[in-house]
Formats: sequence, C-alpha cells, structure tokens
Amino acid sequence: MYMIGIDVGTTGLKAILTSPEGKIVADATESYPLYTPQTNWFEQNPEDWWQAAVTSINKILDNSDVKSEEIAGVGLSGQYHGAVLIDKNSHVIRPCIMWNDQRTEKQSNDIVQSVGKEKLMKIASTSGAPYFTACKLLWVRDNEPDNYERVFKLLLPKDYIRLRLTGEYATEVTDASGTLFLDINKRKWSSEMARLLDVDASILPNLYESQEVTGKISKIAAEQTGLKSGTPVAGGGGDQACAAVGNGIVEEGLVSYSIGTSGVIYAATKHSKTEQLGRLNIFCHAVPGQWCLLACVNSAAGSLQWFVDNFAESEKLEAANKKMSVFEILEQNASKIPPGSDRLFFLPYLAGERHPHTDPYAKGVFFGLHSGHGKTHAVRAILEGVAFSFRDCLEVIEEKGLAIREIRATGGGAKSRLWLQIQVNTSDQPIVTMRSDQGGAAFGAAILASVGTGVYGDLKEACEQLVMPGEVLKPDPEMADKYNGYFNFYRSLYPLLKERYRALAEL
Amino acid sequence: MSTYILSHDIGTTGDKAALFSDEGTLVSSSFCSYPTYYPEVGWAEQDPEDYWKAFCQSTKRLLADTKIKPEEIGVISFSGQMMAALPVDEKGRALRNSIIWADLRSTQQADALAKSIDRDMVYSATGHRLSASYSATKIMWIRENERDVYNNTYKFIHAKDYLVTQLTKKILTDYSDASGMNLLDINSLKWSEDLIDATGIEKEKLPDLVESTEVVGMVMRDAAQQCGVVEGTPVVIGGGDGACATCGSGVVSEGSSYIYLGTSTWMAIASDRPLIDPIKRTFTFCHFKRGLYFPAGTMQAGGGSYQWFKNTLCEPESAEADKEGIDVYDILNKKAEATPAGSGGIIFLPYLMGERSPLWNPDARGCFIGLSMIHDKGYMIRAVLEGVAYNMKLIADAFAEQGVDTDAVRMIGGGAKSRLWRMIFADVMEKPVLKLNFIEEATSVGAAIAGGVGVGIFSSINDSEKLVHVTEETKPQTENIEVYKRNHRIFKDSIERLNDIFVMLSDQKN
Repeated sequence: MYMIGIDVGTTGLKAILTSPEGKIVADATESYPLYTPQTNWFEQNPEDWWQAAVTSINKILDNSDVKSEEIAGVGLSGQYHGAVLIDKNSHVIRPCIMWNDQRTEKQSNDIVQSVGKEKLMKIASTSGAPYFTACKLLWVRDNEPDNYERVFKLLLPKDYIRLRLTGEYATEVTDASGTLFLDINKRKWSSEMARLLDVDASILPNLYESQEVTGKISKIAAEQTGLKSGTPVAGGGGDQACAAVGNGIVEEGLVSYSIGTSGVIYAATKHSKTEQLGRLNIFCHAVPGQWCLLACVNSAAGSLQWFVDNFAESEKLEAANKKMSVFEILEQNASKIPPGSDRLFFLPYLAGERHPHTDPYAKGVFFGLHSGHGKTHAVRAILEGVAFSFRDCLEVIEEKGLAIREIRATGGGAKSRLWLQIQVNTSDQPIVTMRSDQGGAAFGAAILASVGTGVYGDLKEACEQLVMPGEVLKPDPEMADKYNGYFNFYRSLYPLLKERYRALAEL
Repeated sequence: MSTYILSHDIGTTGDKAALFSDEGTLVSSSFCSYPTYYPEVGWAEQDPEDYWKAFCQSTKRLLADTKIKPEEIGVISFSGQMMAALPVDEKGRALRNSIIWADLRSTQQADALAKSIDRDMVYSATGHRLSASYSATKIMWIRENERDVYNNTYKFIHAKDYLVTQLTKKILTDYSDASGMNLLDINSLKWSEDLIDATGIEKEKLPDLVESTEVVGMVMRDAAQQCGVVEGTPVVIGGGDGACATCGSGVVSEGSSYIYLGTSTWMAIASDRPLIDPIKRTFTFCHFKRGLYFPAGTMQAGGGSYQWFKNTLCEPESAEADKEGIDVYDILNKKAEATPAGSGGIIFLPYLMGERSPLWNPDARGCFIGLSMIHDKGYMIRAVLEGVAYNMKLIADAFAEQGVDTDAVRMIGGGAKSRLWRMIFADVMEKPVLKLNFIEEATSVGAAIAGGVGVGIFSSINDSEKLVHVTEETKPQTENIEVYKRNHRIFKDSIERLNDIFVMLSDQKN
C-alpha cells in the first residue's frame, strides 16, 4: 500500500508519496514566509502551512499514477515547540510563535522559579529552556491577555495540519515532549505541570503514541486535497523523531548524525534517562516504550556555508568551470591538508550553541593560526571542528550508558566523503550512509503511518523492510587515536572562553 | 658642485642604496638583493662577500642612473641588520658566513648560559632578554662548533661594519649595533664584565666602539675602484637599522615615539635611560644621540598579519586590484571601513608567528574569537587591523608603566599608508597618529642623517627635522574610544587565558 508523509518545516512543507517498497514515488515542496516582527522573533501563519499542504498533496497525486484509494495512510511530521493557539471555532488566534523565537527568556525563568528545577526535571526531563512551548503560551498570557483568554486548544505545528485534515485535536508523545506539559516517563500529560503553571489542562489536545491512528480524512479535506475521505492519519512525530525513524533508528545502540545547516545527534534508548546538566534533551521517541537522547549543534553545514559565502569566490568560479559544486572543490582541497589541519582549530559556535553547551553567547573561533596556514586549512578546520562538536554530544550519550554500535549519517554534509571520514575517525565508530535518504522526516512519518494502518506489525519490522542502509565506513585506529588527541584539545578551549563570550556579547 | 650623501641600508633581502641631497631630499635609490641560506632548520646565514657585491653594484647603478659624479658624494653612511655573528680576521676577511639575526641555532648555548647567570641581570645590564637571537650565544656556538674559526677571529662585527671594513680597513662597530649583542652594558656603554665572564667570550674579540655619526675613515683605493666612488670619500659608520629608523622617523628627543608597521612591526620611544621592565616586555637599544636610548617592543606579525589575510583569503580582491591597477589593500580597507569600530565583537590575536613583545611566547598562535553568522570578510579584515593595534597598545602601556609616555605616535612602514589603520591606531592608543613624509625609507634617512652630521652637512641629529616631517595627523575619535577600551580589555584577558593553551597546542603531535 502507498503512504503519504508530510513534514511541516521551517522554510516549507514537504509531502511525499511512498510505494509499498519504501520508494518515493512523488514529492512536492511548497515554501511559505517566515515573519520576524522584531529581532529574534520568529512567526509563521498556520494558514500558510495548510495552503502548502493542500497544494503539495494535490501535486503528488497529480504527478503519479497512484489513485487516492490506493493510499492507506497519512503520517505527519513537523517542527517542534511552536505554539499554535486555536479558539472554540477552530480558528487560529495569532501567528504561531516558532521553535527558534527568542522572546521568552523571562517566561522560561518564571517557570523555573515557580515549578523548580527538580520538579521540571522529574516531569519534563529538563531544567527548562526558553524554546519549550509552555514558555510561548505564557508569553501570550503575559503580553496578549485577550488572545490568551480565547485559547481553546494548544497545538503543535503539524497538529494544525491534522486538525484541518481530520477535524481532530490531537498530538503524540514526541512533539508533546517539547512542550513541558508532558510527563516524559509516563508518556501522559502532566496535570501537575498544568496546575503549577496555572494553565487549564483542557487546552491540551488528545495524546497518542506516534504510530497510532488519530483520525480520518474528513469530507471537506478530501475535497480540498484530493485524498480519499476516511483515509487514516497516524500520529507521526516531531521532525527529529520522524527523521530518526526514517533512518531506522528504532533500537538502542543506533544513533543518527544529521549534518544539515544545523546538526542533530539522535540516539534511541529503551530506558528513560535524566540529564541534569542540560547537555542534551531527553524526549519520548516515536517507538512505543523508547525514548531518545537528542542533541543539536547550531552550525554544522551552516559553518561551512558561512565560509563559502564569505571566502570561496574563487572556488565558486572553479566549480562553475568544472561543473562541480563548490563544496566538492573545497573538499578536494581540504583532503590534501593533514588531519588536525596543522594545529588549526575551529569552534563552530557561529550562532551560539545548544548542546552540549547551552550558550547563546558562544561565538565562532579560529584558534592556532600561523603564517603557514592557508584558506584550505581553515576549511578542513571547519570540517573537523563540526565533527568535534558532534563527538562532544556523542560523549554525553555514551556517558548515559548507551552502547553505541552504529551511527547513521544523513543530511547535506553526509554527501562529503571527507567529512564522513573525519566524523568516523573522530567518533571512533562505524558510520553508515543511507541509500534511502531522500524523504527525510516525511519518510519517517510515512513509515509511522504504515505501522499505524497495520501494514507492518511494528516499527522495527517496518524499518527492516523500508530503510536501506548504504556503505559502512570504519574508523582507522591510528587516525582515531590522532583525532582523539585533537578532540581533547578542542574540548579544552570552550571552558576558557565561556565567560569571554558573555563579555563579548555585552560589548 | 653639489654634495650628496650616499646611504646604504644592508637589509635582510638586499642592499638599498639611496642618494640624498645636502638639503635632505631623496634623489634616487637602487636595490640589489642577495640570498639567505638556511643550511638547517632554524639556521640563517648570509655570505658577507654578497654584501660587498651588492654594495658595489647598487652604488654603480645609482650613480649611472642619476648621472651624479662620484666626486659629488660627500659621505657614505650605513644602516644594517643587527644581532649578527660575523667573524673577521685582522685583514677584515670573513672567516665564515655571517650568522644573521633570524638564526636560532644557539638555543642550547642560551639555555646553558641561563643556568650560570641571572636572567634579570642580563636584562638590566644589556637592555635585552637573554636570548639565542642575539650575537652572544651565536659567538658561543661558533666557539663550541667551529673552534678554528673562533680562534682565528680577530673581531665579531655586523653587516654594515663589514662594508666599512672593506672601504676603510677599520674594524669597528657603533654603539647602536653593539647594544644588540646581549654583551654591551648599556648603562656604562662598555662590554659587560659579567657577560664576558659568563659567556667566556674573549673581550679582545669584540670590536672597538665608536659613535654612529663618526667618520671612521676614508675610502681606500682598491675599494674605490671596485665600487665606483672616489678614493678618500669619508665613511661614517652609521648604525643598526633600528637606530637608523628611529632617527629617520625624527624620534630624537625624550618621549617622542614611532611605530614601524611593515612586514616587521615595532614601536620605539626615545628615553633618557634604559627601560627596565619588571616583566621584560620591552628591550632597549642605544640611540645615535649619546645619553638617549630607544626602548622598543617588536611584534612578529603586525603588517604580516594583514599580508597573511590578504594572501590567504582575498584572491578575488587581488585579482580585481591587478585588473584595475590599484592597490589590493585599498580594496580591503574599503571593506573594513564599512564595518563598525570593534568589528562586531570579533577579536583577532595577531600571533601568526608566535609573539615577542609583550608575550614572549613563541608558541602563541593567531585566533579569531567571536565569529558569528553575520560577520563577513570586511569584519574580519577590520578585526585583523584592530588586533595588531591592541597588541601595540600593550607595548605602549609597558613604556608608560615605566614612566616614558608619548603625546603622539609617528608612523612609518607600508601599513602607514592606510588611513583606516592609522585611525584605528589613534583610537586604540588614544593618541594622535602622525604620518611622515618618508614611510618606507626611514632606515636610509637615518643613515643619511648620521652621515650628514658626521661630515658637517647637518649640524646635529636634531637637524633630522630638515629631512623628516609630519604630513598628516590623525586624531582619536572620541566616539570610538569606549568600544576599543572594552575590546582591549577582552583582548588582554584572552591572551592571559590562552597562553597555556598555546603551549599545549605546540606539544600536540601532528
């Protein structure tokens, strides 16, 4: 049976149609605007998401021979944390305050004050951070009391698409993990948290496991999208959880490295863990009975992109002449530089850092420049610095007692052979590339739908059939040893500069 | 008939001959290069015979180009690279290649010496740290490794002295060059007995000392024939290039100061006493004027940092400059000018080649700290310019802490051409920066002044004002001072925190 996966991203919405063998038969992406009403405020209009969903579902149906009755289910994936506020008439009250919005530092502090770190840790498995949905809700309460008065339901971005598709107010455990309202261990809404925050628990939507069916395509949605009315819609998950499922990260010991603009390190675990220091997030995983350790590094391929934007004019020309990408040229050059970049180090904190150092003031650093260093040393140092930042996160995961047996790499950065080799030797773990790496989070959402609709018994079985690992890259012990030394050196730099970053920010 | 001053600057890459009129105008110059030999890593040598050949060639070429008659040359005077060990026999013949300033082969001798002598004493006696960069340990190396050469050595002299010897048969050096050997007691202006004892260098092998402005002899016939000047032309010994640049910048009275901002970069200030800094950030040489000194602080990569950035990250701008026939630095300066003072919080540590003043840490390395997504090339260029100025301010602060302050800083060297960089220096140092008429010829000018004073063309060193004057004054801009003050605090703090890490980095095996 065919499945549809939908991912509500930050720059656009992606819909894919997958075949019974897990092939992507058709896909479409529709972009929408990102509003910044003030510096560091980020909002989107949920109606834009819906229009993008309607257009892209129509497109994938038009661009394939698959009939709507052959589609067995729909899975939803989306950006975490965004607060979508709905009134009694199912209307959106105000634009969605998004995951990357930074207006809520005060609310975050208030929550830590009123709930206490210990209780936050016990219930939500975090010591609090401004990006959690609850902070956004309380910001509205503090600043837009009229809007707050009208809140009937609080939804996450993908769940707004669900509302429009099925008429149901529902979410699932992975996305709910990013709200602060979920009891992470029990996988239930925490009425205690709602009470402590003085929020009416009835605004929280129905809660499901990610693979469960949460409703069916309504008549009106069927008319708009071309889907068959009555088609089941599965819970789906937050984009990272779905991306992990799409890479088969459904058993303890498997870890994914997503090397995109930002980087994500995602590990599945059978037992919920705690992390007092906030060096990573602990959320529910999309697999029932599993949790995830989730770490984000803010500037992964983004660091390289920054360098390309500012310093690679001649490589861009060369790339155009040779009909290659500028990244291929840079990679070729960087591969001629010895490991360790002749003792040049790069700290990839160009946009602050999230994990393992939660530090919005952190900044990028080139450390150790000498007159013999050329541009290509800087490129290699960036590749290595990003790899070190991944290992920094991986170490925390290992410290939690996970025995890692395989890392699966995805994202634009995983296309670079050199970067993967650096990652392999830095992490001293085999890294597997993915052949089925086209659909991203939408692919994972489609897999969840295939389990929810009973095509497969469970996610493990589904992933064995649908997810296709590619080549295995193994660490070279000698290189791993070298990189271990470089990593330890890298790690010594941040603590020295930590307070300086704050001082810099105050300049 | 006019009278001209022929000045020669015996530099590291070659000899620059320059002719000045008796009014102090630069008539013409001519350059002739010679090689540096690196027989082993860390060694650096030059063949003194090459100095002589270059001297003859550039002199002849200069005379031919200008059509000035040899008999119109009233005096020949010198500036030269310092800190060499150049052994000559009684006839003034070189016994081996000169071990030049950049040579570091004698670190073992320096370490051994440090065990038998108090480093503080060396610093306060000679004005310099005990170091393998100076002549003393190089001479020790020759004694230990080339016994015959040492035994046959009549005197250890310097590059310019070698040429003086070829011209006049006199084997001497001047006080300024002598003050770069780690052997001269700069207080008493005599060879230091303590250093003589500790190094075991025989005092007889050290040259007699004369004033930089002294006419030490006349050109002999053989030499005159070889180089094309007239027999009997007076020869003034001149000084080390540091002393010449100081005088050639018009820094001839207490409290006057200048920055040389080129491939090498330093700041020096005229003082009536040697500056003994408790943490040895600066060092002191003898000035041309007796009773005057010039404490200095040298950076390893001042102008060099900007050069490195240009070479490494600015090919498109270089290509554009070639096409348009303009200076690439003008393009880069424009980019930097478009960014705010303080470079949006980027701090550059200019230690691409380790650092001398004020850190004295060969393991120090360059850093860009505080990068963020919004920063483009212009920000990073500005950060480089600011970073060099921040380090220079540490040197100026070291002078001031020892009680020698300056009202305004003169600036010479290629970097002085950049208005933006002069403005940054003015804002960071909170002092006016003065651009001079000669920015690339200060050493030649200094030598010419010594020569002119020696034969009476000029009445005294203070006459340097005839040759050197300020062409542009850049005043500090009050609106920038605060941000630079804060950035400078962070700069200082960063190097304190990172100093140990630099050492760790150098221990990293590759």
